[in-house]
Amino acid sequence: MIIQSLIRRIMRKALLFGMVFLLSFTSCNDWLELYPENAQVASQYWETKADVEAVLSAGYVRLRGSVDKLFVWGEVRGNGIALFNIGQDDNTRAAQRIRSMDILPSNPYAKWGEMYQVINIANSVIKYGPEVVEMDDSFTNEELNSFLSEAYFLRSLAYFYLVRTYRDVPYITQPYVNDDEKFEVEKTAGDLILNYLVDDLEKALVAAKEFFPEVDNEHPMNTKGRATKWTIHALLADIYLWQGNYEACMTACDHIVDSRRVGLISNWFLNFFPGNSNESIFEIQYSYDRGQTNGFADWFDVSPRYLASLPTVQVFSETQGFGDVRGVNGSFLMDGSTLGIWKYMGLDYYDVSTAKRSSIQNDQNFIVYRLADILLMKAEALVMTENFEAAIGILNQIRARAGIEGDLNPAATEFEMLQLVMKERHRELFAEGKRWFDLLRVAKRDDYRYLNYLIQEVTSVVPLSSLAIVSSKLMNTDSHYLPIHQDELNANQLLIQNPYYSNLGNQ
Amino acid sequence: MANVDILTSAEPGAKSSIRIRGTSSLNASSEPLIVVDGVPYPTTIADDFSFSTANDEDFGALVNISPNDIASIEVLKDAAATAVWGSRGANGVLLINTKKGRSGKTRFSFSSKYDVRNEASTIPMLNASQYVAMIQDAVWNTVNDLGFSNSQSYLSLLFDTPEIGFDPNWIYFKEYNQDVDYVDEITQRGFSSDNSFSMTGGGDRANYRLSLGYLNEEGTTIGSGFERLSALLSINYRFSHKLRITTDFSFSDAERSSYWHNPRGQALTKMPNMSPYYMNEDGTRSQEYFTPNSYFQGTLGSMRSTEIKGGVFNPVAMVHESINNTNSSNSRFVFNLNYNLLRGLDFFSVVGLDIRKTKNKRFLPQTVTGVTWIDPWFNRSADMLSDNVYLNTENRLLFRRGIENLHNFIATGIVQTSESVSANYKSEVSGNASASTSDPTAGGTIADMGSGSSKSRQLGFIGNLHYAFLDRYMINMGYRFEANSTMGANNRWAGFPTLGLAWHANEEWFLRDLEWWNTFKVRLSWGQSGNAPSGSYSYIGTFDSLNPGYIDYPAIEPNSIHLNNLKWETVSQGNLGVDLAFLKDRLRTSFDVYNKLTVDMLQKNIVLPESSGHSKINWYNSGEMRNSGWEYRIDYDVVRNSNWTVSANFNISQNENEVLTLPDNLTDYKYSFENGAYAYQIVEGNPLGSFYGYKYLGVYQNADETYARDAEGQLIQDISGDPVLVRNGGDPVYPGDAKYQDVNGDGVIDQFDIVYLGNSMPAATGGAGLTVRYKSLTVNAFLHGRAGQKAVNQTRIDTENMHGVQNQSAAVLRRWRHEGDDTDIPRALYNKGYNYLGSDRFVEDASFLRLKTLSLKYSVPSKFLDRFGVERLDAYTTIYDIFTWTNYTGQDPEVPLSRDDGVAYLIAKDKAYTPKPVRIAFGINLNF
Repeated sequence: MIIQSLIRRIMRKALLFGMVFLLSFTSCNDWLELYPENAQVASQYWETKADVEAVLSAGYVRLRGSVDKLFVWGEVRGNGIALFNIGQDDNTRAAQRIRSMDILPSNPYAKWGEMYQVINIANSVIKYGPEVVEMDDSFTNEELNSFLSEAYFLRSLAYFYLVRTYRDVPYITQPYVNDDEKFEVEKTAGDLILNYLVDDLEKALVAAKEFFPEVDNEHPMNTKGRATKWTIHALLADIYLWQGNYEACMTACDHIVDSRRVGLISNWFLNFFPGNSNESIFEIQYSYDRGQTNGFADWFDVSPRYLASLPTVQVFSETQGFGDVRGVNGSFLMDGSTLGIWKYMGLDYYDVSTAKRSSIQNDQNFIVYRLADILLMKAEALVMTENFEAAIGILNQIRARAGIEGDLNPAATEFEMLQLVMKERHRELFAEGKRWFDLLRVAKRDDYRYLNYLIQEVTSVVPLSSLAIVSSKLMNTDSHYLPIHQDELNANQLLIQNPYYSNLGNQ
Repeated sequence: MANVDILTSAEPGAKSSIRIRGTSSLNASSEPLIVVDGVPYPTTIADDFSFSTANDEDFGALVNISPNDIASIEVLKDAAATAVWGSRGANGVLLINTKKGRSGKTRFSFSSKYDVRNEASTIPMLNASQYVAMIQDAVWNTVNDLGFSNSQSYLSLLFDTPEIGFDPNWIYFKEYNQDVDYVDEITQRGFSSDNSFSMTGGGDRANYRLSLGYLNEEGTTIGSGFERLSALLSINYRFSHKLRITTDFSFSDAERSSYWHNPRGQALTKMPNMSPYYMNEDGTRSQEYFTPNSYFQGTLGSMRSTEIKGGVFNPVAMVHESINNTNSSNSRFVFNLNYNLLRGLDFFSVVGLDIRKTKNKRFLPQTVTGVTWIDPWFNRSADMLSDNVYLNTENRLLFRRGIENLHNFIATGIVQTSESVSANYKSEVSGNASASTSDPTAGGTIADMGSGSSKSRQLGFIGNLHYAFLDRYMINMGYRFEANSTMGANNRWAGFPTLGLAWHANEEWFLRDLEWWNTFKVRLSWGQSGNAPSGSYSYIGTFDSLNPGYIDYPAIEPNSIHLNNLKWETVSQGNLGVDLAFLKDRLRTSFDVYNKLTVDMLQKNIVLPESSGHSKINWYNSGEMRNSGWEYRIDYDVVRNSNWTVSANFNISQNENEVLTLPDNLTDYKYSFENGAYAYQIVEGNPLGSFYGYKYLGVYQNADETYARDAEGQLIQDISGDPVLVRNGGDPVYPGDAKYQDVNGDGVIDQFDIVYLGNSMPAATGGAGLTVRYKSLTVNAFLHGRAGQKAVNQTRIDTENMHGVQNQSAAVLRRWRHEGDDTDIPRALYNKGYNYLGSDRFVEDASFLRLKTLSLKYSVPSKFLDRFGVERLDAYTTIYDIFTWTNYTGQDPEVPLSRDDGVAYLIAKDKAYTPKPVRIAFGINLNF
């Protein structure tokens, strides 16, 4: 009976407890609020400076992940490289289809996801960085603005690649953080996007750093691997030139030339090994020691995917006899009929004793901008503003550095001058992801005044049998831009396919 | 049980699933809630649990208790009945109650059961010489198609491959010139024994029941087995007339042994001329496994526990040498309290605690894979550990009041909570010296490591009111307010009403006096319930680190998008039922019609435009679907007297599934033009589970037939006026190739020639049972059938394609070789062509009727037993899956529904390589 009364007492307490439990309804929501223990919860992120910097670096990581696209978009339709070992995998087949202008909306190289990953990350930094400054006392406005300048650079670079590759694309400046966002976004005209980029970049210049602190001053990875003031000027010069704003382009180039932070180096090959040279402005960094490796060995080395093209051999044959170090044994090898791209394989100019990069040296940087590129941009702008003399001066500067004896003289016409610049760009920047964009930039200028030049150049790497068909395809200027990928059209109903591809159907 | 469709697989290690009243959700779980002794039992259905017979024994295995401990199994289907279980019961509830103690003198019972499983013969495969001939035939055909100059690699395959050539000087000549039946090498006769013992007794205040069980099973595949020890203790104590407490404690410890990877598929397609062992000089087998790392059929690929990617291994070594032991222990406490507070007011409290520990140890020795020391698969071992704790509580107040036998009220208020916590850890190590050193600290190379933890909680408040007038008119109203931690605070709570009406018409004046008509009950119910997204933190957006970072900066990026709009998937169900009984309840019948509407369907992994910087969104609510159908059941006790009992039952049901509104993301259909692939598409107004493909017309007999013709039957000509060949995709066809219907008449077989081929959902399912007893002898038979289900016979696709290096079924002996061969099987063509596109050639009607069980029981007469003090002694024998009537050519027409890569719904794709074994069991039950 003692037990019974005890139980009764317990029961009364239990009942009371039950009632309290019922009343404490509000505490239920706390009880139901659970967070994962092994993941970073988004709503609890964005609190310190380190949070902002880590996301910013993710932008660079994603940019590094897109190098395959950057290379293919910039080179495959140009005439600098030749495709080799075709059909080994989906990627080489897809690249071959792009070269033969047999492009379907299902081509994997028509996917733009990597670029938008960079953009989304940059957008996140731009949106949340200012909020973090309010919370983290150790995070100064100056530091924030420097981060923002990098974010604006990453976003602008991504959009510039997109505009050059697709022309009109969705222009998104807000990060996607939750499912309230509007995921389907219409295209914005490419010209308009470029104007926005210019605005952003001009503003970003103010707070951009001139250099970053280095651990190893011999190899300034940070200054050459992150966006500095000079990087932003370089991108601006590139965009201005694309837009046909030659004065602004030249001004931007001059900022870099006068910066005293970069200069042409006498040994041209040092640009590629070890890289991060004094000439460099922005390189996407790889580092074997840090586990940040690339697939360049598969592209250029054993059973290579890409070789030098015959037009490349030809363009070098014009200077080879005058001491150009960049040709055979510099940019490429002449090993029987195989024209391996030595730039990315060698430790120095090739001779019998030079070793190739070993597997632990397969961390070649992907150079986005270096001074030679900027100088040639300026030369092009000078040509377009009819200052042939000054343009030739720059060409001679570049040629002299390459070991070529004897100066060029100005040509008579704009077109001849442009050809001289383009040939020099071909030689100097071979296989650096530039060729197609260079050809397209020159061709589309002044309502496609030089379309025939583009067709001539591009078809120089097309087999005779398909020459007619590729030429006729290129006559339609819409074909110069890639189609929007089929998956993207399915997922975003607001997109309108590039008219050149819209009748190719749902394949 | 009507409309409980138990989908099973005969494949050891295959997963089974059950559906009650159709598939009502695409991504939320469609499996019913299992409730044991009033506490939900998390339905992590064991991977190789076989639902085949779905009797007490199997349900017992499902919840890890001996079948002899099960008192009752009940299925709740309509919304009003399942309401109390809330969202977890949205797909139906399976109530299992264990036996409780009985007061009185102590009673003992003992039961013992032995069974033997014999595997029926599998698909007949080509023997060694037929295999080699088939491969050579196939390669030659490819060489002919490509032309001599383009087929150097194929010619060298033909001439320089000693595995399929005849070269007595080759060192492995003996090893590649055997004739091995690999399936036979890895199978054995299955055997199992199940013994259990229980005792029960007690006095006025307390009683108890204690039981112990031991099950030992050996599978039909060598190396597979299962051992389980289980114990159950139930104590019932009545403190006073007001307070009663019951506690149930159960414990089980099970050890399942298996192999690293299922060897069946590999055994079936292995080249039969290859020996699993090195051969001695005298032509006998040695003890050494012959496992070349790379040979004609391929190289070892990466091998996971569930899949093998493009790799080969030695299946005989796999069953004998690889280890895969899972030890799981499960402790479960259920504490029940019942307190009578006032007259008519009762308080019930249930607390259930369920603790599970699973340890898995695996080892894959080099003899199975043939890899070298540096390979990550060299002597690979894995160690896995997982812990799960489930805590469920329920507090219930029940008020009962009757007024003058006219009105009857029952009001209930319930608070339920549920919490589940899990943690797991695993490590995989390669380069071990032996199986016993699989721990990563023992020094191997770590190949894979991982750990995880999760927690989820649910809360429910339920109010329910039941009112009956004159015991004839009844109304039941309920409201459930429920929350789940998998959704964000704004959508976490949802309310689900239920309403039930019943009318016992036999109590009315016009029926009361009819002696032959005993029951006439009409039931009408309507209710809503919800499905919550699975997983623990589904709505939470996360950031993840990117490794490696950039230069020396760590990188973190947004990984998943935070879901503000994730909400409950709501299922509304209406049910109308009629129960009738006649002839003193000897003839009972019931009929139900229902309509189940699912809205805000949970969509998983929705593809986002890449312009968002993300590839997918984890969950999204969209789309509507309806399941409607009927169920009918009749039970008839034909004779029931002391000498004879004859009773029969029959049930049939039909479920129709229709997609009303397409989920936003499923506008496009999934198809890629490749051999063996079917197109899947969800179409508004059509049921789920449809497949689309080509119409197969047989084989092209001669060159004339291979010319392309347009829709009018005119030859299609090229620019120069020559007829063009039909092309299957990009490849022109030649005599002997597969002929598909060219629906659009363009001379090319491509995705535009795809037509509707059938649906995986059965039109009707049913069952019938018959029990005949004469004195002490009882015969019991149970039939189960399904009609109108179409299935893709993937096994045939795999064994009749003659496209690769795999061994094929004997059916390919009928392959086309010369013009005039009257056959439906195309020619062999190695690594080329489209001779097995997804077509109706492999879609079959999987309707069947199966005699699932037939059992004979003899109860020893009590006159005789009394002399020994024995209360009851039964001896019985049961044969399972004795015979199946079907036109289906696969191994088993009971094709389980499975999910294909990237397809949002389940389809019937038959991948079974193993026929259902015929099982014979003998047993005794003894009570004293």
